[in-house]
Order: sequence, then C-alpha cells, then structure tokens
Amino acid sequence: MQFEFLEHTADVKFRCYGKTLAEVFENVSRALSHHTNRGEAVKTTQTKELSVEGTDHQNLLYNFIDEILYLLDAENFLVAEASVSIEGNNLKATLKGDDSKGYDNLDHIKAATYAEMYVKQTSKGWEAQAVVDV
Amino acid sequence: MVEIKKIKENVWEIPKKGKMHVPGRIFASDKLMETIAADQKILEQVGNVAQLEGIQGQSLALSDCHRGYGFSIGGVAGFHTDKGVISPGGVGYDINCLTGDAEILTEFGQSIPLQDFAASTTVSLISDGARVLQKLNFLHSLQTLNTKERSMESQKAIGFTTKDNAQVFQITLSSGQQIKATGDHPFLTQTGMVPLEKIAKGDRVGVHMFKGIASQAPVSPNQAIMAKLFGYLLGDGSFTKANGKTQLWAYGERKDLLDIQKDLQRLDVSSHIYTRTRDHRITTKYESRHFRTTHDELKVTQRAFCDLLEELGMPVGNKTRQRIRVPRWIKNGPKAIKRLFLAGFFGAEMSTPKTSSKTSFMCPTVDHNKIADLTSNAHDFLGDVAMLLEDLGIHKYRISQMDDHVNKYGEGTRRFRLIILGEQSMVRLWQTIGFEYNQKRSQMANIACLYVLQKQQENAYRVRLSQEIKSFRKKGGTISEARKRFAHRINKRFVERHYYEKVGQRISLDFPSFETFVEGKKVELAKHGCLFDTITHVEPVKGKHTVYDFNVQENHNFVANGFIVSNCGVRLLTTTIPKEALMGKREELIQELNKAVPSGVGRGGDFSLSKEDMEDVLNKGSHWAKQKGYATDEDIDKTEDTGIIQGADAKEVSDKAKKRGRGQLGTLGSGNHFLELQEVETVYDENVAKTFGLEKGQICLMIHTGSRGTGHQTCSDYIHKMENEYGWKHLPDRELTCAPIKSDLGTQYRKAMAAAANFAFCNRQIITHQVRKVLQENFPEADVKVVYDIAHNIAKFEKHVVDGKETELCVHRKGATRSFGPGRKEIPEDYREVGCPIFIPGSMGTYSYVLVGTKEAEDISLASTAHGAGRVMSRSQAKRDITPEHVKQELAAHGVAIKAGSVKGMVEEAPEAYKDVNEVVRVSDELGIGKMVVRLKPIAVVKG
Repeated sequence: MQFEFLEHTADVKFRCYGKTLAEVFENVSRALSHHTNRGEAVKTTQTKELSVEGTDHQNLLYNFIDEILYLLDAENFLVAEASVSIEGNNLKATLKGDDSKGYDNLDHIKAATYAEMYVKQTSKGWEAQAVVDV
Repeated sequence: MVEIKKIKENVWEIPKKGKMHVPGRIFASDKLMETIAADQKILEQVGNVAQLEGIQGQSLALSDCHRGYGFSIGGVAGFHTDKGVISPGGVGYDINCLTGDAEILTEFGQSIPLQDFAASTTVSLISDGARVLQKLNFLHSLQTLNTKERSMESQKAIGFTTKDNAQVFQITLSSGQQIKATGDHPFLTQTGMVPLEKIAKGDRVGVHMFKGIASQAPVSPNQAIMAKLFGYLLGDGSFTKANGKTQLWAYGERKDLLDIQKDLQRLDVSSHIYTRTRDHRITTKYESRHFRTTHDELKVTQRAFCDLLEELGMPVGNKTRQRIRVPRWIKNGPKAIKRLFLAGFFGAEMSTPKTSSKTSFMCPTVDHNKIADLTSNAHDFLGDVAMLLEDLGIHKYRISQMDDHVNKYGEGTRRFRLIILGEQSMVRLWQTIGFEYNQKRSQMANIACLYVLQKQQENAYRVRLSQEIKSFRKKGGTISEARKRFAHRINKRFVERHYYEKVGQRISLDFPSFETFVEGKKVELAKHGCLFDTITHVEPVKGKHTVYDFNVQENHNFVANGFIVSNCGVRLLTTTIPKEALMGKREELIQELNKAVPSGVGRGGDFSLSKEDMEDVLNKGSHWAKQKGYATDEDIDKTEDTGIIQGADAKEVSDKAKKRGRGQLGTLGSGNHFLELQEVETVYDENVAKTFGLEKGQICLMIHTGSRGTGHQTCSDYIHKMENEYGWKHLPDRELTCAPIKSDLGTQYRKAMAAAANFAFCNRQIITHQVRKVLQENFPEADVKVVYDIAHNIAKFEKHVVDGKETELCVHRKGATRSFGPGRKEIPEDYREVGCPIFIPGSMGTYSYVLVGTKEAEDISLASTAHGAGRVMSRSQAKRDITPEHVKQELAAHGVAIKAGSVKGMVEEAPEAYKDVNEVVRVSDELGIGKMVVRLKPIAVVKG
C-alpha cells in the first residue's frame, strides 16, 4: 500500500508507506494529489524541480507538504506525483503535474500541520502520518 | 482516558492535573457531550492548551467543539499580556526535580544545597504519599534567567515539593560540571526547555558559571544591598561634604548605574542619573594628559542615607589622602556579606578578565592609589581585602607597589596593587565572588570561567591519554598497535610523541583562543541570555533518590500558534428582495453567484492583485476595498474593527504568503466555506432583531470564508520561526509551538496575523461587492446591507476580569465567536445598546442562527460562544455512509436548492456529518453566553 486515509472528524489524516524514506515522501505527494483532485488522476504535462530543507524529519515533511500547497495557490501547478531523493534533512524532488486551471473541482488543502504527525522507520521500511487542514 | 466531570447543567470540567496550569472547561449538553467525549483527542487538546504558559482562568471549549490541530476547534483561551517573560526558573538548570545536593544560587550570591530548603519554614499544602507540596515562607529569592530580556534576574520561590524514590540521571558537561536530575526535569537548550530524557551526549545546555558562596547564614536584603553598594562606592564613588551639604556620586556604565538605582530604591533612597561631559587633566609619572570624556553619574543627596554611609565607615573627601580600612561590620559579617562587599568593590576596581596569550589569562588585579605618607595604611587596607579573600577560599595573591605621580597638593603618590595568582584562584574568584554592578565584567568572568574549566578538562583528558599510552607501551604494545588503539581518541602525532618521548602535556593547538571563544559566547548571550556547554555523559544513578522541586514565581506568557490562522469569519447581508421574486429566479441566481464568487482553488479569482495592492490589502483591510470603490461607508461601519486590525504590517508577512494570496481575493476556497441564500424563519427577540435590521420573511445572504492561502502560509511561516527560536520539545504538541507575546517574534507574529486578518476582511468585502452586483443586476431596486462581519478564528487583545481584577488578555478564539454584551466599545454604535451580533451557521442546508452577545459570556466564557455546528463525522466516513442522492433528496424535501462544487464535496458537508446546530445554539442560549435572536432557513446553497 502506498497511502491510506484515516478517520479524522474535521480534517484529513493520511498515512504513507515506503521501503525508503524517499519513497514515503513520494507517496505523500500522491496522497495530496489524490485528495485535492478528489480521487481522480492528475495529468503529468509539466515538471518542476523542488528542493526542501528541514530541521528534522517531521519538519521536512511539513515543509514538503507546504511547498506542494504553495505551488497550487501561487503558481497554479497541481502535483500528480514526485520522484524524491533525501540526504539527511535535505530533500530534492522532481514534481510531475499539470496546470490546475484545467481542473474544475479541486478540494483545497489549506495548510500542513504538525498534528498527529510522525515519520518513523518500521520493520518493513518507513512510514509517515500527517493531518492537513482542509 | 481524560477525566471529565459535570459541574452543572451544560458545564463540564477537566480537573487540573499534571502540567496543566488551569482546569479545562467544556460547555455542552449531555447529548453533545456524548459525541465530544467519544473523541478523547478533543479532551486531550483542551488539556494541552491548559499547559501553555500564562493561560488564565480555564482552557475553554464551546458546545460545537471538535478535534483540531494543537487546539481543539471551538477552543478559547486567554493569556496574560503584560507580565511577559518566559522564566525557565533556574539558570542553566531549571530548578525542578533535582537531587538534594544540587546547589541553588540565591539572589545575593549564596549557594545553598537544594535539600536544605526543606528546612525552611514551610506550610504543607498537599500530601499524597509520594509527593508533598509545601508553601515556603521563603527567605531567599533565586537567580533566574529572564529569556525575554536575556538577562539574569531574581524571582521568589513560592512553593517547594519533595518526592522520594525517584530514578535520577547524572549529566556531566565538558567543563566538568555535574548535576543529577529526574528524566522529566527540564533543561534549557538552545531550542527551549527540554526534559532530560530527551537530551543526549553532545547536546548543549544552558549554564551559569557563577556559583556564589556556600553559606547559609541568612542575610537581610537591606544589609546585602548596603554591602555591595559600600564596596562599589569605595571604588568608584565620591562622597563629599561642602557647606554642610553632603553629596554622593557613583560613576560607571549607565546600565550598571541603573542597577544601583534599583537597589537604592529598595532602600527607599532616591537618586538621579546625569550624563556629563568633563575635561580631565591627568598627570602620571610619564606624562600629563588632557582629554574630554562623557560619563554617566548617579547622584544621591538624601541626608539620612549619606549619614548612614558615613556611620558605616565611608570616607568623606579625597580617598587617596586619608586612612581607609574595611569596616568591622563587613570583616565580622557573614560570608555572604563579605562576598557582596568584595564583588561590589571588584565591580568598580578589578581588571576585566583578559588573556596575555592565546589561552593564558593575565592575573586579576586591584589598584589602590595613596599618597606615599599613607603607605602603611594602603598595605593595611589591601591586607583587609586579602583577609576577606582568604575567608572565601582564595589563598594565592600578592601585593606590590610602585611610585606614581605627584598630586595637586605636591604630595608624591604610590600605586598599590593586589594581584590574584594562579588559575585555580582565578576560577574561584570568578565563580564564587564575581562582580556586582558591572555587567560587562560579570559576563566576561562567566565566559572566562567556562573557558578555563573546559581547558582544564581537555588538559586532564590529554594527561590521562599520555599515561595510558605509556602504560600500553610498558605492557609490550607496539607503536603500530598503539596508533590503532588510540586512533579514535587522538591524532597520530600525539600517540607517537607520548609513546616514545617523556614530554609534558600542553594544550592542543586546536583548542580555540579565548578571543575566538568570547566571540562565539557573545552570540549565545545576545540570543539566549546565557552560555551553553556541551554534555559529555548522561548516566543513570543507581538506587532511588529523594528529589526536590521549586515552584519559582514566573511570569510566563505566550502567543499560541497553530491557533490563530486566517481570520476565518462570517458575514451576514440583508436584502430587500421579496421572497416570491427571488424564488422565480433562484436557479439563475445560483449560477451567477457561483460565477461571481468562485472557490478559486487552483484557479484564482477575478481580482489578481499587483504587489503594491497586496501590501495595501494587508495593511488596510476593507479600507482598501473602500478606496477602490468596492465598499460603502456603511459596510465598513458594520464590520468588526471596521475591517482593519490596527498594528498590521505587511512587511512581517513573507513573500511566499503574499504570492499565495495575490490571486485569491474574492474567492471562497473549498471545504466548509460557503455562500448561502437564507430566509429569516423565526424571530425570538423582536427588539434585537429590529436593531440588527432583521425581520421575519426577509431574504439574507451568508458568507463564510477567511484569508485563504496568505493566512495559512503566515501560520506555517511563524510556526517554523517560533520552533527555531523557542523549541517545541517541552510542549505537549508540536502544533502548539509558541513565543512570548511581547517578544520580538511574538510582536512580528501579531503584526503578520493582523495583516492576514485584514486580507480576510477585505476578501469578504470583495465578495459582498460581487454579490451586491449580481443581486442588483437581477433586482435593480434591491438594497443589500451588511448586518455584521465577525472573525471566528483570531487572537485579540481584550480586557477581561480575571480573579476579580480587570486584566488585559490575549484571547485566542479558534473556531469561536466573540460575544460582547451591551455597552462594549468594540461593538458598532448602532448595536451597542443590545450587544454584538453573533452568527452561527449550521451545516449545509440546515438552519443558521443569529445570536446576540451577553454580559454572562464576558463573565464565564471569555466573551465567547460557538461558531457553528461542529463536525461529528469524518469526511471519509461521510463519503462512505452518505450518498449524493440522499443529500439531494433531503435538501429538496426541505426546499433548498444547491449548486455544489461537486457531488463529493456536498457529501462531506452533509448535515449528518455535523452536530445538531439547534442543540449547539440551545446550550449557548441556556447558559446565557449568546442569546437567540433569529433563525435562518436556507433557500439556496452556493458552494465554492
């Protein structure tokens, strides 16, 4: 499983899995895309390079989500997926996505939050959880 | 399980426990409580907020509360604004759950083992077996770090706890200092207070090198202040009598004179500080120099104080020409008094710590000038000083003398010098005596002390290594084996030298020079107000120990972040359109309104702002809209704070946040934001309804949205800044990251938050303009008026009564509406007699309510009531359990038309996913924290 959405009364909570930390972040981008376009696929007509720094894994995840939200609001770039590499707390990603103006009915994510967030290594690889404000 | 108990009808309490500063309080009926308590996370969040420093009264949650992030949604809390400091209690080490041998530094430089405080006069307050909480009848104030002012200050200890059978850990620092504490005991780190269990080897913790004198004989504050003042004045004071008038002057840096002034005030002695420019001519044995300087001088003329000083032995007139001895009251006084006198005298007269080479210090010296005739008195005086030093454990010193200039009376003078010898004496001098009324020297002594101790540790380590290498050779180890064995501890060259040669140990060339060290430490001092040292070991201590805990009087106070986001709010408009006419055009209107007020997600709206306009919107809010012709005077008057929060500053909003918002003015966003046409269905209070301009059957329009991307980005930006500056590990939830309200960062945040709120006001105003345009195109006669515009996601400075006293609080309302009763000046004039309007929108397609604010709300709920229905069902559950058809049928059955953004969006916001708004409003009405005025029934839902 790449990601799953969990119960949360008011906001959107999801958990992502991966063999590596980078793979988990790739799945975070998929989960965000899945929510924003209400489960429909987003076309991959454009790419964007992204570089994010963090003070720790949680902070890195927060900033990564934050950047993806920023791109939609400020540059009308709707992310479909990302290929990610991570060294320490520095992340580089190539984002694939589409011009959001072609999408009618997006469900906006307002902000990343630290609520119930974790990034951890498990016996099977890596796992991360986040709640986003919608 | 979080404990919760019902206090009375509609009022529940989470008792104060653990780290909570205040209890939690939830306003809900039994029925609503069932759904609230089903999600323990809500109760936890209410409890977490109660742990934030500076919270007053209770951590509140209103009847519509549900799980949020950091705070619960529907949460309200007020924080003290004025006493604004974060005081970690102790310096370096916070005083909490330490073992009894920890030495605690008091206000007047005494260090007392923690366990001895247990012998102070105490009154037991609570005893629950393992823990005993006692109130101290306390003689000592303790030294604390005021992290806001970044300086040391003294604070009273007001409580004392002991606990037996605790597991403790010992930490050792690179300067060799050690302390034992429990795992939950917080230590100051560069990212805030962190419990010991989360600190590891290599982390850095705050330290204060000054230890003071190990002496417990109590000294009175007056006696203590007199001793240090006397010492300082004997050095840098001038005491003269002329024409029966006595004058006392003290010279020094302005900030030090201010400290003297403060102490004098404690003795009820008034003083003035003057700035003077003086011409000087100084003749030394080498040359005569003329120069001009500007000095600050403190003057005291109070006769009684001058007489007292004279009685205590202060020489009157030129000090170089008369006999001076250290007075008996000091020589025979307790050690603390001796120290205070010396520290005051050294603050005026002793050299500042400095090095003569890269790592070695010059000997500290005190110069004393006297005319040659008084040579023996000079020796006596410096002898007195030396005896005091001896009493305080400093035994290596010498006294030298040399001839100096001839004074204006033609007398030859001599300079006598007391020189402290050796590194050990130096460290002891700086650690136990230190300097009073000289912040610069105190600071340098603090830094120098840390430096010397670290250097000594490093040296000792190298000596040990040298011995190990030599004994390794003795046991037959070869040089290559030795190189390998010690490779991870020291360089190869060291191993070779100490393997083959009988060389002495010298400090590593890599060890920083004192100069470099000082530069680094000055940065720490400027940023945190204290020095940091690295942890070299943390290890559990065997056995069970008794630990002690102080409650130090602190004035904590934070802006809680993650709480105040976007000035999300609600605006209600009234129209004069007859219902029949509207119903005839309902479908077209929905389409047109939907076009004029887009959701804007991923597309933006029609009002793309230039960079300059964006700045203006942030600074001016609705007033920008008025300038551009998008608002009437009446619109502005009927908006909370007239649509502009004072103190907003666009400069504090990041470019990123601005960029996110520039295309979003006039858009709703998605989620629960909406635009709804409604009809006044029931009137509960004719008089108030009339005042608000509402009557039965009237068509209204409700707008619910906020500051869009700008607000969210601003929140994220400041969460990061605050966690970098103040840390988060001490908080129950990272989302509760915060900063002191009046700190630089707290101030910047308030300015940025106000700017984001202004964007929201302006956003709702632009939407009003668009709605008005559409309605008037269809009904040219229609008058569209603003009833009111309220923010329900914002922090505001307001006056409230706390414990019977009017206090200014920073009230955070996260998904809660302000409820002010009649008379408050914050309410628009037209409504001031009845109270402020409150809008509580229900879920999509259900009733919404207009309420009026009350005096009761000011008394019991920090002038707040609910803001909506409050969710009970997750979005994913709604998607699973509710079908779009069902929602459509339900709405149709109630006569509500809809043009939702999507079928899916509709389902998530379906009435079943929310609490019953009628119940939420009923609780508010019954408690009296918001009284029902009218009920609005939806006619058409125009989702974003």
